[in-house]
Amino acid sequence: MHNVDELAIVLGVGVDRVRGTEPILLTVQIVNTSAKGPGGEGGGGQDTPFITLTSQGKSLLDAERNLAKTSSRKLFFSHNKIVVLGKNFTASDISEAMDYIQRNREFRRTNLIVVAEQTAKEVLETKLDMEKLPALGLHDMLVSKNQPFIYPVNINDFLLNLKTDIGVSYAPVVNLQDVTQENNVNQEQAAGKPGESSGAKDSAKLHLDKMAIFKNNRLVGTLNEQESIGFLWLINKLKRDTVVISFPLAEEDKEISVEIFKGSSKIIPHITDRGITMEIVCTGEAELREAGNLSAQLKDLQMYRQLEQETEKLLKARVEQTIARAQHDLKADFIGFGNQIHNYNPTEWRLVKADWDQRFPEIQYTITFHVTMRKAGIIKGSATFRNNEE
Amino acid sequence: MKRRKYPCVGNIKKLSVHMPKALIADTQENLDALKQLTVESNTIAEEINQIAQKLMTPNSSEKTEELPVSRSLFNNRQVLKHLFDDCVDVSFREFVIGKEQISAILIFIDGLGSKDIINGQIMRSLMKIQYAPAQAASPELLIKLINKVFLEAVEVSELTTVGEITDAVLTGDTILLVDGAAQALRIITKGWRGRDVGEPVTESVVRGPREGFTETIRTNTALLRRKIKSTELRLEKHIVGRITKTEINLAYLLGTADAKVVAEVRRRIKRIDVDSILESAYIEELIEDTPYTVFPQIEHSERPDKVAAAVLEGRVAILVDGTPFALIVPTIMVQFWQSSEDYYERYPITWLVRLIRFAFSTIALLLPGVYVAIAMYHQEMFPTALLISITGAHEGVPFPIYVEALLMELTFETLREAGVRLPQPVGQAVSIVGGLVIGEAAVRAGIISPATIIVVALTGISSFALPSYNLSWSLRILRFVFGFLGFISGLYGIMLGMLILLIHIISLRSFGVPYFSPFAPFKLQDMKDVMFRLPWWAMTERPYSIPTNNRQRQKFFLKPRIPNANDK
Repeated sequence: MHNVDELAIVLGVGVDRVRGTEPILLTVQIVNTSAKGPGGEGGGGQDTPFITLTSQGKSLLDAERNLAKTSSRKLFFSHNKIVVLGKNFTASDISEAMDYIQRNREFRRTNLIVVAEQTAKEVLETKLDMEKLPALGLHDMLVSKNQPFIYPVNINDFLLNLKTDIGVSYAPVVNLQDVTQENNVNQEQAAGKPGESSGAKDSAKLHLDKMAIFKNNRLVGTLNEQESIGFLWLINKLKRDTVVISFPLAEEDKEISVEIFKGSSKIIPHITDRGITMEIVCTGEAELREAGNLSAQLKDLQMYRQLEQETEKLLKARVEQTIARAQHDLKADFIGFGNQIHNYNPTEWRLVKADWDQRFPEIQYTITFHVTMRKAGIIKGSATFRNNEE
Repeated sequence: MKRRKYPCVGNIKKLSVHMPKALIADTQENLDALKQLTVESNTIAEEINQIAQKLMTPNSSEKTEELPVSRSLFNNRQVLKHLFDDCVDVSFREFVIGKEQISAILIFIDGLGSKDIINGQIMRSLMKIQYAPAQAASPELLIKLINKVFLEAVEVSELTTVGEITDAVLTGDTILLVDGAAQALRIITKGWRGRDVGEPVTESVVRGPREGFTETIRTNTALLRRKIKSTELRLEKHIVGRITKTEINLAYLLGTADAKVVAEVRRRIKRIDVDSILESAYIEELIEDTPYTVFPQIEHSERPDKVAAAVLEGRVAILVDGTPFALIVPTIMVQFWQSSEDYYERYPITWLVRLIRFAFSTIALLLPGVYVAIAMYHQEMFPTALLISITGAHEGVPFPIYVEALLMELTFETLREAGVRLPQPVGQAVSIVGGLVIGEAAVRAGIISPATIIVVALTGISSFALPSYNLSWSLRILRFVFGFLGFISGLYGIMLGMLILLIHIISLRSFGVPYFSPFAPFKLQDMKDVMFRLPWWAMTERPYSIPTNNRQRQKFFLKPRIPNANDK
């Protein structure tokens, strides 16, 4: 039994690897409840709404115990929202951390997992512009539908993916941008502000734009934006996609933007005597968002067919790029070819899984896209381009 | 021998020497009559002595009640005067009837009997009596004549024992005693100042009849009879209470109410042998199935329409003189969530209203317990933002959350209790002091956290969302138990408590009917009128939970429809 005021509510946990005898650096972001009661007045305006504590240890549990040495309250992990893995930590084996998180009964399997481009400590110390509690803000950013490039992965999914025969998992990457460039400039300002905790980086902003790929319990690489979105197509988790087309019919400086909703994909393995081929079928519904200089031609429904074909072409290229990265660069089957074979034909999978790593780069595939333009004709011609037409 | 016994007679004989013969014979005759009188007066004197001795002995009342009405008015008068000794409100009006000057007494209680009837009808008709001398020969005949011919009164009956006379007088009737008759006439003159039929205070409705029962049982039975104009409505009289002699009426619908239930109610009423019944609660506690429980097993109501509805469903209503609250048996638990207005408003409204009642009675029972349990054991169950709020609000509060909740709940109950009993102007002061000072100041002073105040306030309001006051009390008592369970063992304790509570509720019976029916045992047919109510045209059958001999209460297919060409 604990009274609520005996708890330190942990919202974010970061794990980094440092040099020394105690290689694990644990960072926790704690709500500073004594500073603010959201409804009530009072509480020092000087106090920050959150506190970050760090400690080192031989293992995660050791680090947690060392953290308790300096804490007046019991660390309460049940409300933890995100687990940030520092890049230097992910470079080597992450299994011990994952095991600790899995076995700790206070951690929820729904905690989101992110990989920090820098250190986890820096990410957790960063303030967000619009949120008082950065861990909650980061959580909201991750699950937001407005983030087109990443797919939020919770501990459960992450562990289950690692546990498959392929042993490939993925997690979004959080990037602390502008730290290196602007830090020097802003350092003086930051130092000058009274009451700011020295750890908090005001100038830095968290970016979510990539996915990290894990294989054999360690990070093997990160996808760039285009590859990430292709990846989301492949794992059928696309929220929405935007394609900017330089259409031949359009004038050179007028780009046409198409947004794709309801994208979905299906990977069908075909196992024949000649080998395994994958058929990737993607469908999507699209909407014209910026017509560029096409206004005059938009009355013609044929134009939409052309736009659809053009969109499909671009999307296909993007997905192909992702697959190429998987097959030839990372050599990690994060796309899920293996899992599809496992699902469609378990007996065949038993035969191929042993040397799947060797086979995967040689797998042949076909991609078909079916994009349908919707809501054509709601706006036939743009108001601003009417003069040009006439 | 005779001379010795009657020495005076001897002297008269000596006188006879100086008297003429004829006179002697005359005197002899008179003497015999005198002798006879003396003998009779002696026997009467002995009788009076015996009665007086009986009255002196401690447990004389029973014997006096069995005493028959004497032929002698003087005798009766003495006995009754003795019984009503020092009762200033009992009037003995002595007068004579007719030319023959036959003595008579009217006995009534001033204030209980209607003065209009006694003065204007009884006295007038008795004073006017003229009858032939032959009829006066027998006082029995006279009393029959008064009963059948002379008396202008609606309800008259003949009594033969002293006990009956006292009972009649004490209920407000008037007794006429005539010299020489061994019967007393009871004239119904009950008529005292009572409360008028008014709006029932505890069960007011927006739509529906506004009359409520009063303290007078006859008024109440009249109200009930006005709702059910059927010979099948039976009103059975019982007198309970050795001293108070309270009248109790069982109301039921013959042929609809289960005979076994009626017999059982009758048996339990007859079993009661107490000195007083001042309210129907006395009866309730003496006839309920399980005495050791917080749950009310008998519903009470002061609404004639509600009682009538219960009687029409095959239940038995117990009306008690002196209280506007009638008991309804058998009772099932869901009745306490139903209000008479549910049936007067259109049925979709009832769906929402009952949903609110069920939901909020759960809150009234469990919210503080669950809040304490989660806040002290299972903080992970709060949404994160809520936990941060609660923790922030609790920062600096000196008590653990359970103590806070307990303090606030006790304060709330005290305020409620203080407000109920106090006169209205003072009650307002209490609510202001309680609401503002305790609520606002305690939070500002940091003694109580606002979250706890919200929880306790919500619980308090919820307990008033129940239409029945007595079930809301049960929940309130149990709320403290659940709060403690939540404090000592968290949600585990609450679940354990709920299990025990459910087992207990399911084990209860009300006149043989399972208390938690129609949930357990489950009766699908009764679901039409539990969580929601179907429209009247769909409630064709009386509830299956209540035993009845007449299941169908209305025609099938009463659903209104647009007339078409096939209709006549």
